[in-house]
Formats: sequence, structure tokens, C-alpha cells
Amino acid sequence: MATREAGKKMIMLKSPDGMEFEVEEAVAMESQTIRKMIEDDCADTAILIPNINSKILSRVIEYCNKHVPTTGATGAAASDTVAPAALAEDLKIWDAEFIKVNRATRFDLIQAASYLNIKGLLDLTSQTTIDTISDNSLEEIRSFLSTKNDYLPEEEQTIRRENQWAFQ
Amino acid sequence: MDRLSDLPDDLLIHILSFGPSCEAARTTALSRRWRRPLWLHTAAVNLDYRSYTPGAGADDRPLWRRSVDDAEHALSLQSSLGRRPKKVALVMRDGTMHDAVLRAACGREDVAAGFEELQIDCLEYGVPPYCVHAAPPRWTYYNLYLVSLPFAGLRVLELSGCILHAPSPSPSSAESEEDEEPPSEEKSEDGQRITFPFLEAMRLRRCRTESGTLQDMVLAAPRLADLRLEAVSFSDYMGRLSCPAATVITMANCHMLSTNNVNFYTCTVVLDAPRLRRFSYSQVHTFETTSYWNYSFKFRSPPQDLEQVHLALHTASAAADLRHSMHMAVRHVRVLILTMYSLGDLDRTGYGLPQFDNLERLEIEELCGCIVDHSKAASAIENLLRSCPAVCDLHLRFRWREYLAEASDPADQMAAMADLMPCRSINNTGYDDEEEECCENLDLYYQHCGHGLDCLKGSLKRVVVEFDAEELTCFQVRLIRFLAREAAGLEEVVIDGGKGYDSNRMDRKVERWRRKWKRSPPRAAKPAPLWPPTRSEFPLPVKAAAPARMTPPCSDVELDNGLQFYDGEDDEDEDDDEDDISPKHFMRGGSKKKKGGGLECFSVKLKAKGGLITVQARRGGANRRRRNDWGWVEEEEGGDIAGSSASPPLVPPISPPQRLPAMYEFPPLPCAPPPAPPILPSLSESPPLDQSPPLAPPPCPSQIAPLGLCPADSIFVCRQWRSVRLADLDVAADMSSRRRYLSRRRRPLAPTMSSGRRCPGAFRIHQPL
Repeated sequence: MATREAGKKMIMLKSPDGMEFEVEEAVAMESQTIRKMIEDDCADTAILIPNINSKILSRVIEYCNKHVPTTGATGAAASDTVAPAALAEDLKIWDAEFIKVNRATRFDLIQAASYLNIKGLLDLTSQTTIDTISDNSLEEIRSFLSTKNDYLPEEEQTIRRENQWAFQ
Repeated sequence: MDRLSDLPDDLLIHILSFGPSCEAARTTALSRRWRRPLWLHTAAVNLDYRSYTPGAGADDRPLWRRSVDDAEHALSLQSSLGRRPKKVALVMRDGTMHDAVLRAACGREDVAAGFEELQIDCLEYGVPPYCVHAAPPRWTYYNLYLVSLPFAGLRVLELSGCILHAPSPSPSSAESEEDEEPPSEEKSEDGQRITFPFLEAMRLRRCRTESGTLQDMVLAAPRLADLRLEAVSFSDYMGRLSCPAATVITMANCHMLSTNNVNFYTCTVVLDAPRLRRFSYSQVHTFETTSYWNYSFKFRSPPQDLEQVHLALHTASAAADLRHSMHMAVRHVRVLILTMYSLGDLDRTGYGLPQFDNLERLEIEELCGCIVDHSKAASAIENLLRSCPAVCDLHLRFRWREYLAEASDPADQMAAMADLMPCRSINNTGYDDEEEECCENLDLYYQHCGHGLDCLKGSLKRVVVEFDAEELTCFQVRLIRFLAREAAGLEEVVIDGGKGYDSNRMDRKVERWRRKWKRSPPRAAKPAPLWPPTRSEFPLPVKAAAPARMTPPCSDVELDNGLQFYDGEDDEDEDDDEDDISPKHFMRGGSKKKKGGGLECFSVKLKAKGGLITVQARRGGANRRRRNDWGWVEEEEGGDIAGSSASPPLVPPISPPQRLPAMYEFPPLPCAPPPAPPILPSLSESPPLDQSPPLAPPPCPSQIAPLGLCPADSIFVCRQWRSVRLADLDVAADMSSRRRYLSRRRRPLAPTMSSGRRCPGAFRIHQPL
């Protein structure tokens, strides 16, 4: 184990609240942002991840850990990392569990995924978000999101008329 | 506050691109923030039947009509903005897919030319998205004429639940199976010849088509790299499939609907895919075997770039299938994943397995090996290892429980699980020496093979065993032991159990097996059977002469694992509510430990700063005697001192050197493995751990004793923790090898962070003194 572990390059990620996370390079490379930093050799010391607190960062790393492609010894190109269906299903189940978080956390995750440019996580969080507001009337969505309706009544009428097809 | 509205536009656009178009459009009326129609920037048009609640309001249009209207609105609005929709998804699973919907979505050629991704999902309602079984013909399908697809700019095409119709129902397509020239050439007389100049990925799920149609589609897509056929039914015989550009092919449960009474149930498609890199094939035998022919495959020419092959061979003649199908590819495949009902399926005397000369990684997934003969499975493993002389990474995945959970008949499950019981009960006892006669017949096969396997002589570096039960079966234990003892170059053994599995003891066993190997490599001409190991090879529990020396209990010293927490629960604790063994509890003295709370131990790698560590030994509970094999605590029955934090320090009735100190300084443990003691005969009564260097903790007074400054990167091993102030520690931790295990099981074995959430697998905590 020792040699194998030693062969892996570790990357230190630092959250603004002072926590440091040491992750394998392959895991960190799930994030295109970090990948770029690594490729540009900006990752000698710890990489400071601004705006993402340790709680969210740890979850993001958890996600990346799970989704780091388990390519064979040769390491296929990233473009065709197509998991077999069974594995994909495993991941789907895991994802569904993973995303069972409260809304605030999910929004944090969206922002983190966006900043770190992790496509899978961004898609997952986005899909979940849209799923939660789908199938609801506008009023329900507003109360759900605690969005304040700052339209004047006539304005809203206009908008509804403009997009009448969607409100039928 | 509204967090969603606070997100930047591009994120909102991304989120909206996942929603049905009408829902997305509706958001414009949410508030002024949403006034700008963000959804128009999504470049996605999604029509989802689920967003239409039938009969709601005054809208009595049929669903398909609403879909059509929505499609037209969404498309026209998007194109009026100058943006071309790129992603179109039509999910009409309730049988409402109407030609008009597709026409509305893809009919406008100027718009449709910009489509890059198209998904049409007309699966019957309630059909699971993943197809395990073939599609029965009685289901409803949508008749899709390929000419109606927007093929100009399409990159990704995903069709589910469709019957694919060739552009012109030419009679030639039915006969094209043996044609030498590409059949698409014949379509030229038809003005509507299909071409997918940019198509890169095509996925057909539960579709029905003719072989010629599929071949046309594939040949019409010169860039098609990813082809997935899942539960595709062919109405005619597909003898050959040529995919000149494909690098990834998935074939799952493809079959032919029999139209006449030819009396065979498997037909072979010859794959001509010279650029193939990954291939996945699975075939579940269908329930109506008389009307289905399952497709098997073979390669026409050796795929030079082939790297990974995943074969799910759910037949009793897996060995023959493997040989048959991999005939051309054996020399090229580097990663082979086999999914089987039972390992025994591979056991075929008479048929050798093909020789995978360049195979580097072998994964075997067994679904229900619990109900078959283990000796066959042992033989199969041997055969497989024999035919993979260069394998360095071996994964064994036993998914019995998962599989059984899918079994429809609970009686079957019970019966199968009952079969497991005798084996499991052995491993449920904590004693290493209680090897019963179970699975004794394995030595039939392993008697002489140990030295004949090339991969064991050096190439095999890593063995991973995953299973989803609480305990390894006897067979699995023996298999692990065989590998651990015989593989010369083995560097890592990972055993990863299901919920409730305690890896503690097994890890120690493996370590002992390994150590034994290091100390006394198997003599070349050893006549004794190597498999199964005899009873005496398990160290007996340490009796009165128990050494009290501290040895790395988890023997991770040389393993570069910085920090490992081992909860000391023993396996008899069946309850799974033990989700709360967190460092907090370590620190607090394990107040949350349940009955007979065991001992915890872990090793800590200290960073250079050093610091004060206060440590108090944690008293063990009723399971004390289970620790015998650590050579650590010896205690008489009933001496359960698992006490409250206020209880006096443990004074076991042992002689002073063996006394467990309630609190002690950590002595640094040498990082190097213990010096090799003289070779122990395998019948030795003394456990191998005896020989490791003494670490004798000086007995300390029972108050908190600080540990002085520590040298950099020392590794300390602590058996029994009462309280550790993490604030005093500069802890480096790497639990990556146990990551999966930890993530699956009791959540917070790893240090929690301030939020209370478990750190992810690999982490580091730095807290200044």
C-alpha cells in the first residue's frame, strides 16, 4: 500500500475558514478550475478556495471522491469515461442520497460547483433545484423560495399575457 | 431570503435549462429579478409530460396538444431572440407522444439544424429507466421515422421506447445482413438519405428496429464514438454490425424477435469496430426464451486499442462464452470486468479460458455465488488467475445480498441466505482458530496450484474484496488468505464489507498472513497443501502467557495511513444503530458506546510542530478477550471494567508489565516494519505479533499526562483512548484506503469538523496549538 499511496500526488485545498483538505490529485482534478490551476503549476502550495466554507468544500470533495473515474491502469482519456450501466446506476443512487440536503446547502453546492466547475455536481444540483420547484404554481414557488413578488399587479398581468402559453 | 434569486444569471440559466420549458417560462412572473426571460438563454427546450397536470384549470386540450403548443412557443421565442436551441428533450412517457409533438419540436428546419442534443423518451409509464430485461413486444412504442429527426447538427441522440423506421421502407434493409458494401449506399435513390455528420453518441433504449436500419444509422454517422444499445429488439437477424468510428460500445440485452421457428436461441453478431476502446456486454436471459434470441457477439478483427471489457455473462457456460466472444481480443484487453451469477460458471474442465496476456486489472462481480458449490468457484478463480498472468489489480465483488434483495420470491431469499449461515457463523465468532471443516473441499483445487500461477509470482499488487454482507463467508476468507499468502508482490489488500461489517479483525488477519509471508516466503518445494491453510496457521488466542507488548494493532505503521480509527466493536454487535462513534466520543470517553464498548485504537501521524497530547486509556468492555490476538490485553472473564469516565484506572489482574495503563505517553513507534524474527514454523503456538519491538507504555498515574514535544512525522499508536484533545494535535490523516468503507458505514468515524459533519475521505486538520 505504501508505494501505491506514495505514487499519488496529493493536493492541499484550503477553505477560507482555515480548514485544509488534502485530496488526491485525481479527485481535485474533477474540478476543472483546480485542474487548470494544477496544469498551470499554481498548486505547489495549498490552493485557497475562496467563498466556499469547509462544510461545503468537504461535501464537494466527497462528491469528487465518489465520481473520480475509476479508469484502468492506463487511464483512458476523459472524453470517453463512460461507466457501465450498473456503475452509473450505483452512482445515481449515491447522488440521490448525496443531494438530500436542505436548500441552503444545495444553493451553496450550486455555487461551489459553479466556481469549481464540476459539471456533474452542477447538473445534479440544478436538476434537483428545478425538480423541487416544478409542478408548483407561481404562488407556491414564491412562498417556497420566499421570493417577494415586487411586480405591480398590472405588470404581472402583462407578463402573464406575454407568456400566456406557459400559464395555461 | 431568496437564495435562488441571488444566484448569478448564468447559474440560473443553467438551472432553468433542466426544467420543462413552460415551467421555465413561468418563472418570468416570479419577481422583477426574473423579469428578463432567463429561460430564453438556456438554449434548451424540454417538454415533459409530467409538467402537465391533466384536467387542471379550464384547459381541456389533450396533453399532446399542449406539448405541441409549448414546443412551438418555446422554439419561436428562442429563435426570435436569435438563439438557437441546442438541447431538446421530449419526455412523453404516458403514451401521449404524438407525431405532431415531434413535428413541432423538430419540424422547422432552420431551427432544427442547430439542435445538438436530442432526447426522445417514449418509454411506457412505469418502465424502469434501466433495462435489465428485454423489452416485451406488447409494450407501446412510438413509431419514429428517422427522416423526421433533425440530423444536421446533432451530436447526441438518445431514443427510448421507439420503433425506428428506416427513411424508406426499402426491402433491401431486411436482406442487408450479408451485404458486403455498406447498406447506406443503397439509400441514395431515396432523396431522404440520412446522415448524421456530427453525431458522436447514440443511445437506444428499449427500441425496436431492423438490423439494416441500425447499420444505416451507424454508418451515416462517421463520428459516432459512443454507441449504446440497451434492450434493443431486432426484428431480423443481425449478423454483423460495423462501427468504424466507435470507441465505446455497450450492448445490453439485445435480442432478436423470432419470426420463424429456427431452433436456436442465441445469435452472434460480429462486431467490426477497429477503434473500440471500451466494450460492455450483458445479457440476461429473457423470460420468453422461445420468442427471443439473445445476441452474443464476437469481434471481426482484433480491436487494437481495446482497453476495457465488461462482460456480464449470466449463463452457466460463461467460460465457453468468454472464450468464444473474446477470441479476437484477448491480447489487447487490459481491463476485464466479469459479472456472473456465480464464479462456478467459469469452471469448465475441458475448456480452457482464453489467455489474457496483457490483462492488468481483473474485476469479478458475483451476484449469487452463495448458493453454489464453492469448490467450483475456487477452481474457477484458479483458472482465471492462470489465464491472466500479468494481472496486477484484482477486484472481487460479491453482491449477493443486493442480488437476493431483487429476487421476487422471499422464500428464495430465505433459502439462499440460509445456505450462507454455516459459513457466516464461523466468521461471526471472534476466534481466529475456529476454522471448521466448512469449505474443506477447497483444497482439492488449491493443493498444487499455488506456485503455478504466474500472476502470484509478482505481478499481483493489489487485491480488493468487496461484499455486501456483514461477514465474509468461509470461502471468501479462504480466498483472501490464499491470495494474501501466495502472492509475492502483494502490496495492498482492501476488504470492504457491507453495512455492519467490522473490518478490524479481518484486516489484522490479512496483515498477519502477509507478515508471515514476508518472514517465510513459501518454500518452493513445499509439499504441504497450501490451500486451505491448516488450523494451526491461525494463531491461537493468547492465553496466560499473553505478551503485553504494544504492537501496532492495525499494523498500519508501514502503510502510510496517517490516522485510522478503529472502532472496537466486535462483530456480535449486530445492531446498526452505532452511527455515532465519532471522535467527539473518543474525546469524551466514548460515552455513546453501546454495550460492552470495545477498545479503540488508531495510529496518529504527528506533524512537526509537536505539542501536548493528553491521552487517557479507554477501558474496554465485555469484548476484551477478543483482543487477545493483539497480544494486548489479557483479562479474566467478568472483568469488565468498562466504566464511566470517573472509574479508577484499569488494573487488570495481570503482572505489571502487562498492565494496561490508564494513561500513558505515546512512545514513538518505528516506522519500519518490525525486524524479521527467526522463521516461525507454521505450527508455532506463538502469535507472530510477539516479535515486534516492544513499545511498553510506561504506566502512568491516572491523571491526564501530557505528552511532550514529538519528533516530526512520528507515528504513534494508541490502543485505548479515553480522551484526546485534538486541539493539541496536529493530525495528518489519510484514510483513503478505507474511504469507501467509512462512507458506507458508520458515518463519523473520521474526525468531525466544526460543523459536525464528517470530513471526506482524505483530509487534514490543522489547528494551531
